[in-house]
Amino acid sequence: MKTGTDNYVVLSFKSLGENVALARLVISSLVSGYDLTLVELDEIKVAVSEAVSNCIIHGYLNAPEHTVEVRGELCADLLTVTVKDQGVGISDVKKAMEANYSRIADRMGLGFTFMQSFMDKVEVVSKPGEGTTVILSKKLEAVANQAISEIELNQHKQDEIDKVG
Amino acid sequence: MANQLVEDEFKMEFSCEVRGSTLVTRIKGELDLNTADELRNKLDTALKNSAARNLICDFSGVSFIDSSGLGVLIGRLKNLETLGGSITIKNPRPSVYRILELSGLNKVMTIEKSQQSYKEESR
Repeated sequence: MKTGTDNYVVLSFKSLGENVALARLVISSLVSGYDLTLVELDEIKVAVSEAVSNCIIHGYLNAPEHTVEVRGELCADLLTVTVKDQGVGISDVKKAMEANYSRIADRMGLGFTFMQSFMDKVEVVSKPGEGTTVILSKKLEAVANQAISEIELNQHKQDEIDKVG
Repeated sequence: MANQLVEDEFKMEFSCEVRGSTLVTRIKGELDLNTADELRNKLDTALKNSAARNLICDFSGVSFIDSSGLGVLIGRLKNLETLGGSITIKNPRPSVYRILELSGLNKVMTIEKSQQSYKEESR
């Protein structure tokens, strides 16, 4: 198994929707040294996307002038992604983490469910008025039956060719 | 070229045509918080203008979806169900299909997997 070296990135950006893609792009680049399948990589990207989206939607109530901080760290094959806002905070973390719980129409309340499904551990530290910190961690290891699919790899290559073309 | 690559990560493309009472759409790009509003607006406008009851979304070009993208789909489903309509998602990539499945959307919408997905599952 190919592994990456210990590394970290720190990212601080405005609470804008367009920065959600930036955050997951940076974290996926951080783990690029690992032989992850595209599905595993997408799972990490979804977890990061949900955590950052929560900061913008729930923490800052979609106000764009605030700051979201993301720190991604690789240490001994353990990926830890810390996503932090200084927004309204969560009064009942346990309830907020329940599936299908959302105070907003057109949202499914699945953000934490995806984070918990795709990462090994999800910690949430929050107090009303004091913001929220979400810590996602996942041990990165290649599993024999999850080798990179040629089909997905070819699709990925085709996507890259389409982008350049 | 690097700028183009980064820009493409943030884009969503949408095209549609009407076939009887069905709006057939082709969506390309990443469906997240950044693109959800645009997708919602385009779908709602196209559905309103076409008076379609059913929606087919070709997802072969969708490279990423999270709960913001799923929220758009579930919102349109609620609207169409009041008209007796439905949503069909066609050709999702394996990673996108996994999200649709985990969210339970495969129980309330028809999802037609591509040959690629079937091959992937049989491995």
